[in-house]
Amino acid sequence: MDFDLMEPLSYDDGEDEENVKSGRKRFGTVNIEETSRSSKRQRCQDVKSYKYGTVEITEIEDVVVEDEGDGSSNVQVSESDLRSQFNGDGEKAGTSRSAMGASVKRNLSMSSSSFRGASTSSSSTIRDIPLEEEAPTVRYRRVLKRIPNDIPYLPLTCEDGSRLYLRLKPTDSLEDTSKLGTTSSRFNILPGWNDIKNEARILKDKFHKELAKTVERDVVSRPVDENNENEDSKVPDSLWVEKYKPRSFLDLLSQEDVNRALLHWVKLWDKSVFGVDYLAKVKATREKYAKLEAQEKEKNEKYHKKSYLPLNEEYDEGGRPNIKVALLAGDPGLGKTTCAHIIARHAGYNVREINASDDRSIQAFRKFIDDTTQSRSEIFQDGRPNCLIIDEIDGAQTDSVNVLVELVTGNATESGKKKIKKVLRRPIICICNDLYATSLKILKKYAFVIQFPQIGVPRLIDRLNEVSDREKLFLDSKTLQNLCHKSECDIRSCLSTLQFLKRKRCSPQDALFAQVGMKDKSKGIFAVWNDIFTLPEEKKYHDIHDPIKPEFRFRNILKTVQNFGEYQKLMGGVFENYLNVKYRDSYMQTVIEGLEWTTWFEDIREYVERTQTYGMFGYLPMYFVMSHFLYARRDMSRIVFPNYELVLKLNKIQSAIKTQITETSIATARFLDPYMLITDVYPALLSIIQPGTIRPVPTQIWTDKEREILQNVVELMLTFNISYTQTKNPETGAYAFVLEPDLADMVKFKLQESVVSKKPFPYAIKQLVSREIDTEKLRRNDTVPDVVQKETFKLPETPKSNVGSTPKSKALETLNKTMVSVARDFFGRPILAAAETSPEAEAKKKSAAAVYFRFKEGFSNAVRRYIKIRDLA
Amino acid sequence: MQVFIQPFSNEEGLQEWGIIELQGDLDSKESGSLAGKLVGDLFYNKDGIPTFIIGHHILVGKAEKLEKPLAVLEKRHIQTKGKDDKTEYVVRAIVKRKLCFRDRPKPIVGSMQKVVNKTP
Repeated sequence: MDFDLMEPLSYDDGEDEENVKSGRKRFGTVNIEETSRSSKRQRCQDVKSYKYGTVEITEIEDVVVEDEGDGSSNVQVSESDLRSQFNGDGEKAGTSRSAMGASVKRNLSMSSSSFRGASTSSSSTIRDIPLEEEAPTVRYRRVLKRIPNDIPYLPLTCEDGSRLYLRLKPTDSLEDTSKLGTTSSRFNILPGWNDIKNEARILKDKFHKELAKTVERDVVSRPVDENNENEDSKVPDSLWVEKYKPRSFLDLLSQEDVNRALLHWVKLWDKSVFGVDYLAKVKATREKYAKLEAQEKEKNEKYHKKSYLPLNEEYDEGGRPNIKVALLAGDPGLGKTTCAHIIARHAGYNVREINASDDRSIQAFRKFIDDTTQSRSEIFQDGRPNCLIIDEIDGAQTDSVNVLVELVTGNATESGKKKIKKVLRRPIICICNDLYATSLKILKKYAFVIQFPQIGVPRLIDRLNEVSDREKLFLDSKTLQNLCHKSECDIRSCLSTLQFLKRKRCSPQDALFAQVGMKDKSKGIFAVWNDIFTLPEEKKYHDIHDPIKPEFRFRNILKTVQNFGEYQKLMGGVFENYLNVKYRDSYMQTVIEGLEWTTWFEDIREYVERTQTYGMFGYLPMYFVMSHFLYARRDMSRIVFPNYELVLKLNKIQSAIKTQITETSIATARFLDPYMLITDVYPALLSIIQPGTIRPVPTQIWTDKEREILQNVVELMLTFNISYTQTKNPETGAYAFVLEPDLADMVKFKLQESVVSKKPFPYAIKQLVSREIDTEKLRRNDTVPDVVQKETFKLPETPKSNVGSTPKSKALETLNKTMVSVARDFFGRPILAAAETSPEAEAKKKSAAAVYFRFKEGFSNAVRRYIKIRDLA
Repeated sequence: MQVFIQPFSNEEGLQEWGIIELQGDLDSKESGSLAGKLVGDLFYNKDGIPTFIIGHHILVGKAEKLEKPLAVLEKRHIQTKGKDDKTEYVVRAIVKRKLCFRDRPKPIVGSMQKVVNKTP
């Protein structure tokens, strides 16, 4: 056998070697995963696995070779495993299968025993055979302990439950036979090897023939003969996407852990649907392999693998899983729908699908769900329970989705008079492209969300290669790789492109080829940010289209950004996130440069908006290209949505101050400007008008000083048009006085919190101040017309009037003040009137106040009486 | 009974008085009659409409001509010797017009905003 493989394993280190050794000891019977009871039946029905025949043999030999170190372990492949590999190739194969199983068994036991002797001599043999010299001398691991990222593999479950992954040799069915022939010479030393080889080859040929027949039968109306292409073009082709659809669980291209997670969830339904306690089984297995599980876990943690197992595995009271809906999310063409279909069928369900093309009004939606999951008659149609698949649910209306949510949460009721709670009895799998669609907001909370990762390029290439060979296209792997990258690993578009090529009969070198397969997809804002902040994946093959090359990065980012278009929004995100990048330069040169570019961007934008010269607009995307080159790293932490809170606050404060200035009296307002207010006046004012020196005690026992302070506070607040408003806290119902405008909110910044207002201003004093302000306002209104009063009022109150006067007069005034010793009222204001009033004025005033008029409603004649003059006289 | 009316009370001739007709009461916070007390200010605005300010009320009325003029008489007792006491009436004034305040008075309230702005 020759083992030339595509690429070396990067993690082939000593530690791993040990792992495998220890794993090797556990080798007993190697069981190909047998996942469900229904799968057997199914496999008998649909026979679509084409490639595992050859693989099988290669792999088993691999195991043996691996095993050569300790030949004592006995590797057996049981017959049932082979059946699952050969995937039910009809009646005839059944007998040969068992024969082959036996032969392989024989082969294995024989080889493992004989290898002990052979292993020492094998190195010398290799040197002798010229063919082998071309083979790379590096040894590759064929049995892997964890899911390989970039190589085709076949998962296996060992007897003790540990998972192993066999590396698949690239399937090249045409070369295979020749290789088998040539390489068999290498094992000439092994007695009986050739016999086994021949037997195996016969079996394989037989299997292939069978397979070819079944495949041809499957392919609808397609003429088998590829040579007469004239006929071929006439007959309408079935879509390749349909034709090469995966037929079984093992065919799925999507990542294995994702598939398993979904299958696990679907199987959780077994208890309520089939009456089989799946979880108990799983638990039993888990207990059995608890140690192994822990190991796996450790391993996963070690490699930061994401575990997809649903967190809540418990059943609810009805024996149903707690999470009742699965939500598959991922870009188009990742095989979500196919995966859901196959898994549902695999678990023994009858798939019912509702699609974007169906009527998805609320009524139709509800009816469909009810029909499939509720009504008895349909539940056991054709012997299988339904599994509902809702495709492209993100396109549905929010209301329709809410119907589903209600059902899931158990809040839905029958529309009839009796309010019976509807119970969801069947699994529902929802599929969406955009997980963050608004309509899915609520559903996400109740669903088991599975994000589909991108399909590995090697796996996809492998599959495409197979298809192209089968269709006699014979594309080389480089072309296929190009195609994969162009379509961004979209299987559907790849297959369609291939079919298109076939139909048009154009070669891969054609200009046409460059055009097709391109995806015209606009990315979401997060995707664009992601592109900016992360370096593109390096390619294994260094071809011209290597995305890591600066010119391609440049072009890619430019194109992406231009496609997105909303530069300012994008810039917000870049600005928000650029500091989270892990920088390596200690002088922050990158940051400085980045900020310079940001300034440049803002300058240009401002210029464009000011002068309406949209010609300059085209330069804006360059900022993002520069950002990409400056900030892009391989490992960008999560990208955060820009925080607009501060911008909003700035706007709010600006408008608040503007109105504040217009509403204050002109005498004050002419000295104010917003900037000064916010930086100089308000911070200081806030602590002045809420002094800590007023005690929250009854006003009667206040000192004069406190009264004076209060007077000052009121005066100031009136001057700056600040007041208190009473608000009620909607939750606690407590009242509180809030400054209007809210100075604390305007002035306080994050770091200043401790600086401003050490102690809260007591409620009682706030109330007092508020009342005082109101009365003072009223008083001023009253007193203004009275000029005399105003002047007297001014004299003691506003020391400002003294500013201009000489010290002498000032002294005189203070003297006057003390001499006069005006009677003061409660707040220290002089009681007016007494000082300067003359008796006449007093009388006048009094009388003026004395008589008042009381209006009587009604007609004047109602109160009119005739009075005779006689009566008066 | 015969009533003698002296046509003229004084040298200046007949005086013309006016009536102020109010719909409502005049009242005082102090006890006692209203006599001699200042009721309010009466003036005509530039359109000739009479305006009356009593306390905190401002009344707007109109001048009307009485259908029948009234005379204000003063009763006098004239005692003559040997004869019966004689009572005579002297016309003090004649009333041809009245000021009628029928509408509801408006309260006088200072405008707050204006006043606040005036104070520094």
